[in-house]
Amino acid sequence: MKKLISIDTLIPFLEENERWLMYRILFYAKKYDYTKYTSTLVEPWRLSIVGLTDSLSLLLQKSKAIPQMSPDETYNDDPPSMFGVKEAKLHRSRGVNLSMFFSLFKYYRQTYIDLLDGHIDEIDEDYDYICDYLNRFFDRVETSFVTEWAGSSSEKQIHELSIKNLKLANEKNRYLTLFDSIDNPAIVLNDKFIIENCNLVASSLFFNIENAGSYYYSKQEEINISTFLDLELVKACKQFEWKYEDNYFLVFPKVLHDISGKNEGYIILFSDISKLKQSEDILMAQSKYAAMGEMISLIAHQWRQPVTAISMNINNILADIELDLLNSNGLKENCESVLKQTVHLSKTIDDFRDFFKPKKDKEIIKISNLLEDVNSILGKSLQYNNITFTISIKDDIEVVIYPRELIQVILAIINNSKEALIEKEIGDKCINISIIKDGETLVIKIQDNAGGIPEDIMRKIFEPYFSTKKEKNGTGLGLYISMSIIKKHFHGDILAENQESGACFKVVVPIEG
Amino acid sequence: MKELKEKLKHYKVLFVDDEIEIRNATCLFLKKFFDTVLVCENGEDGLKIFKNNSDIKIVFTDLMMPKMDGISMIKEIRKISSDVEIVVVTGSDTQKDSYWNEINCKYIIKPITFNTLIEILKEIK
Repeated sequence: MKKLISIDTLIPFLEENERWLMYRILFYAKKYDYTKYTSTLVEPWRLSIVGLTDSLSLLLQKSKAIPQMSPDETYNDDPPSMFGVKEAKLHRSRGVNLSMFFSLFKYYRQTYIDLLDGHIDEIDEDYDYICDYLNRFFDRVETSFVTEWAGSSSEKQIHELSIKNLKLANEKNRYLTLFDSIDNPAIVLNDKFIIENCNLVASSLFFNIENAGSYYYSKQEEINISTFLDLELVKACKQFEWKYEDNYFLVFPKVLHDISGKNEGYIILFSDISKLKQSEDILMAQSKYAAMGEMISLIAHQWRQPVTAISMNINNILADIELDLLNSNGLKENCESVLKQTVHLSKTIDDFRDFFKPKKDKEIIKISNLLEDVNSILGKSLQYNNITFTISIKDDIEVVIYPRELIQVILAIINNSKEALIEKEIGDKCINISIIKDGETLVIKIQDNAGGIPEDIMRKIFEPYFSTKKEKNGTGLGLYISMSIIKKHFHGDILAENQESGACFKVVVPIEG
Repeated sequence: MKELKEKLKHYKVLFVDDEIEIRNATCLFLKKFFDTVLVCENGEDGLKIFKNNSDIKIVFTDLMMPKMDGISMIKEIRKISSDVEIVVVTGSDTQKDSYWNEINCKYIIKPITFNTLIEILKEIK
């Protein structure tokens, strides 16, 4: 619906529509190729609109009578004329010629008229008056800058241009200085992904160039960034990790800001994260050792029983010898029992060896098999501690996943539950694990009845070296490493919350299945 | 060895362990020396059997078991009888000797050697 606008509400209305006006003039400028020579950033365009509206406002404050023109005026002391003269000087010194400036200015006038057309009915009694006022205003601006332009001598214009030229050269130097002063490697690409400029840090790192400005002034050949980086990542990612020689970088590709469209391309910033990575590697190694320690104690648990059974079988044979009871049936029975135990011992070792075998590829695995593996590693230890371990699987589907890593995470969470249950001396100790497929994600829910995680430490539990366990048990790395495995390898998440009787961890991972 | 068997054969013995293979093999061993060997798989059942068989002379028991662990069972048994011989068969030696002396128990560590077993049997009065 069109809004009623009067001469009194014209200025607030124009101010309200500042962005619209800015994008409208930009539209004309782009459509008719003025942007080849204009500013690349938004702000100067906005300022041009603000300048026009402000001088219109000053003119209105002086008089609401239509500002007609007359033959004896000088066009230099009313608000539109002052604006016109100022802009003429500014643009002339930048090398803009009169026809270019004058013709673009016609589109500024059109821009304001377009806005009014969209908001005032032509039958409105104020329409003609406001249009006349606006047209005379623009006429005054134009008359003033044409007069200024015509009155300046060619010597004066050359002088103005040469001063401006020096300033421009310094602007370029300033850009190069600023660019070379950036502490992080930075690279500018054109629209064909060819390196246009490299700052000092980047040149010395990637091209062994040690002098500031060398890349800019003496680049020899065109280098496409694809010789360094994956183009698809450059185009699609806000940031990505990249290894170059012995260093790790976070790479931030950014499309160049240029509303005029002259400078299409990218600026790419690099942040060296090698040290961070190194400390993360140390953390990973520490956690691996901690996990191995836990595993070895679990192996010891699982071996104790078969080894004891074997020793008793041998004791039986020895006792039979001593008591003259030895017969082939008894001997056979004991030997078979020994063999059975050795199979069990061997299987235990296989289970654990598989767990530590480094595998880099995803595997197809049934959810029930995944949980069987968890049970074969941890089941005994839970049983000894009188912990009821229940598994519920809604859909026993096959998923394509990194099973070792996922098992490591599940074990870490269950282990925490186990230790909380023991430490708090809970009566009927329970750990429940359920797995459901929710759309394209797998949700693994692990709940216990150990009373939950105190609210004040809830937000810290995923931090490295944070542990509530007594010194000998906790490395403080279990959940931290679990979270980084799930985030980095699975692009998933771990959520922790307290429920009625205890803690609940949800491991959410996207799946192909 | 035969004399040892003669000395022990009339005693009634209880063996408690949750692992079936150990239960079977140990039961077989004990039967070579004792005429009556009672077997069960957790502390709760062990206590029940002990209460129903006041003539049990020796109790062999594991420690880590579901339902009722070995220590809890021993404490209950000691409330009933202070002189029944109790031999703890444990997987680890984390408890000090003084602890076992206090509750008047002998202990042997898994896996059990033949000589250890025979020594323990010889000590039974």
